Amino acid sequence: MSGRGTSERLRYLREAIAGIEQAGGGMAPAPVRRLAFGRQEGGRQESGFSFDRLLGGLATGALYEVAPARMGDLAAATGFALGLAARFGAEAEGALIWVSDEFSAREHGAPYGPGLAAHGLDMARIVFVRAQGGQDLLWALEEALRCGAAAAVIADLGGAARLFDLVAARRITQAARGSGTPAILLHPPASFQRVMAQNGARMRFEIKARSSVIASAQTRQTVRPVPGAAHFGVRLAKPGVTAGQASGLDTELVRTIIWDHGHGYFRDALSLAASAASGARDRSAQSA
Amino acid sequence: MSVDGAARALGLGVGMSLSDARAIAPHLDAVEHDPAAFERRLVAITDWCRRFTPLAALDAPDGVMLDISGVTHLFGGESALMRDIEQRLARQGVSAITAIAGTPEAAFALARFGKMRIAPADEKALLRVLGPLPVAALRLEPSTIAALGRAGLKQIGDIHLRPRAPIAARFGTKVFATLDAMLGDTHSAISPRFEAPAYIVERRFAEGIGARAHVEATIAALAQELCAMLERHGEGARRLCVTLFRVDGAVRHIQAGASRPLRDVKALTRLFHERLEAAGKTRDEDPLDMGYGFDVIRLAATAVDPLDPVQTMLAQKGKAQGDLVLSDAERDARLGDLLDRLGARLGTRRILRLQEQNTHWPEHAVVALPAAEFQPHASAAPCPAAASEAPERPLRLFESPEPVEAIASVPDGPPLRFRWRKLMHEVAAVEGPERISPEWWRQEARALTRDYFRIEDREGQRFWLFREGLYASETARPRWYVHGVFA
Repeated sequence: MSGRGTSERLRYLREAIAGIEQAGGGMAPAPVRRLAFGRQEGGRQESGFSFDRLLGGLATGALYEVAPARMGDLAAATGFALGLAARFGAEAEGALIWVSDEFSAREHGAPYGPGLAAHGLDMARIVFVRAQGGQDLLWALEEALRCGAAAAVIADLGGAARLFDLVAARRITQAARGSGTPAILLHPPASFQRVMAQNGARMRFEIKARSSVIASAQTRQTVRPVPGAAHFGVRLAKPGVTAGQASGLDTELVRTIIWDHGHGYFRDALSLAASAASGARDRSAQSA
Repeated sequence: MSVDGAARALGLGVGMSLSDARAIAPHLDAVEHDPAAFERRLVAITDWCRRFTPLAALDAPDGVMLDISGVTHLFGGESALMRDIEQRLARQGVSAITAIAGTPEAAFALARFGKMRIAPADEKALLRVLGPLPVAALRLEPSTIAALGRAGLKQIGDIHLRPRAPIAARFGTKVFATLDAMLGDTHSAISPRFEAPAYIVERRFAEGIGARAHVEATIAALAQELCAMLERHGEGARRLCVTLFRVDGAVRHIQAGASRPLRDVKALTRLFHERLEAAGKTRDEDPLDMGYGFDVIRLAATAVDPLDPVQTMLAQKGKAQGDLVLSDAERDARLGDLLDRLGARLGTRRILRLQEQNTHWPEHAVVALPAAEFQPHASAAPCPAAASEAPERPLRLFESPEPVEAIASVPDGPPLRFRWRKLMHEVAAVEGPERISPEWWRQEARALTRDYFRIEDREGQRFWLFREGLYASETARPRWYVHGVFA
């Protein structure tokens, strides 16, 4: 089959699918709003943060997937996911809905109110939904997305990740697109190896905990180092489909960023030179 | 001993001793009287009787009292209603005697002692019917009945004609209080098991319907009627109840609550859709057993609140234009509907909001309340967290602190390394201690003082550890726990 024939066929299939979804009660996509990961300085889309340059910022009505690199990084991944939620929450009114199952709270700890407040989230805006199993969790997630009253919906998938197949992903993506609500999914570790590449998620982040004491490392002998603000090592496992330059992005590179809990935005951890050095280190660690 | 119809045919009677009865009929089945089971059954029958009237009261120890004012015509008159009740109960294996009278007391007396089952409305005729009944029909204490009997007052008619004062002085005022109530001279009311709901709609079927789709379709049709009624009165339902009367007498109530007055057919139908979906799936609910099907389905609004009419046209217009920004009211309404729906399917205790508490003990600093009961604090200003260099509280907190093996350089110092969930963590950075003392005026007064440390290991993972007990003064060997994890 010629290349042109394939693309025509694809276009036909895409249209057919769109037609089915329109007819099947699928909602027309809500208008998308764009916002930045980092602090917006001056101009609307301008932000000093590297992710905004690389990825073109965040957009509502899309699916974002976050997973820890290892089990021990789950707290960091939670922090990153909640950082995203806080970004969306800052730009829109409405509740933040956290959907999880019972097991996750018991095994990995339940979201802790004062900790959420310290992370820069307004406790009073968050509604927690504790489903009893994976099916109920996905159902609640879809309902919450469809209702359109939430600023963001975060799902701590846990055991439900097994059920999160292409069909489920399609439903969630459609629900998010229809209402314009962003969905943030927190996967269990190593889930991205299983998660299919093309499940409709806008972006996919793999999170590692990163030391927050780099700055004070030199003074180690004299002053005992103190943990700082949350540092994340982020691997852009799927850099999104919005930015044209994203296609050339290195998906193995781990970038270190900081969640500024006081102001509620992400920023780069180090100066450019230092970040390049740490990036190189990460790359060597990855290949080793 | 109590007997059923078959035993009575053998010549046995109520009050006979079991050994006497066995002598007459050796193959007798005797079952120990189980008052609790008996009452459960009676309650079930009472609930079942609500298919005839919303006002059904349990009339202990062995009766059910129905207020049928204004409903008899629905069943083809009084005698037809009585026949219907008796036949339906007989099919369930219950032998019942029914009687209809103008007052609960008269109905009680007729059902138990009378020959006539429907009391005449005319007072003279009523007296003729009630007069020959024994005084036991007045529901008096056995001692009073015996005393009246000794005085020669054996029938109601005997008492009614006598001068009142001597009898009241000797046997108590209750005799005449009951008698007056029986004759309708003083008013008495039954106390129904459930209050009559504000709005009721129902469907009756000649044969039981047994498919869930049909049940749901019926509920949808009923919801339409109910919403029309609510609309007329400018009210919305806060609590709803669907009652399913199964052909064989089992009654199932399905309740649903709404966070705001509800008058939307679709929202209402979906609420019950979730409830039916949830039936049988969660631990705290029995599966919906269709059995032989339901022959009456009733939808009632048991609690209502005023709800101003909305301009539905205008709201729809806004939706059609696909407005991205919802109005605050619209957003609240949608969130309310969502939480109702989630609560209907998952259970309301699974939809939670956090409320800050005035305590510094970490486990109690917030409580999770069902969103339905949540009342935002008047002073719920978000606490400013911006000041600190790093968050002081963990993002995830374990339900109960998890013990760890920790090695510290000095007994009251921070740990150097610790083992948690089989993994060794080398401590790279520490902040602490933050000393939190148990609040002696609260329950957990016996808890030990905790020294909390915020710890980062060499991997960059951050933990909230604490040492329990002050070294030397509270405990000889302080133990370590990890209580939460930071991002």
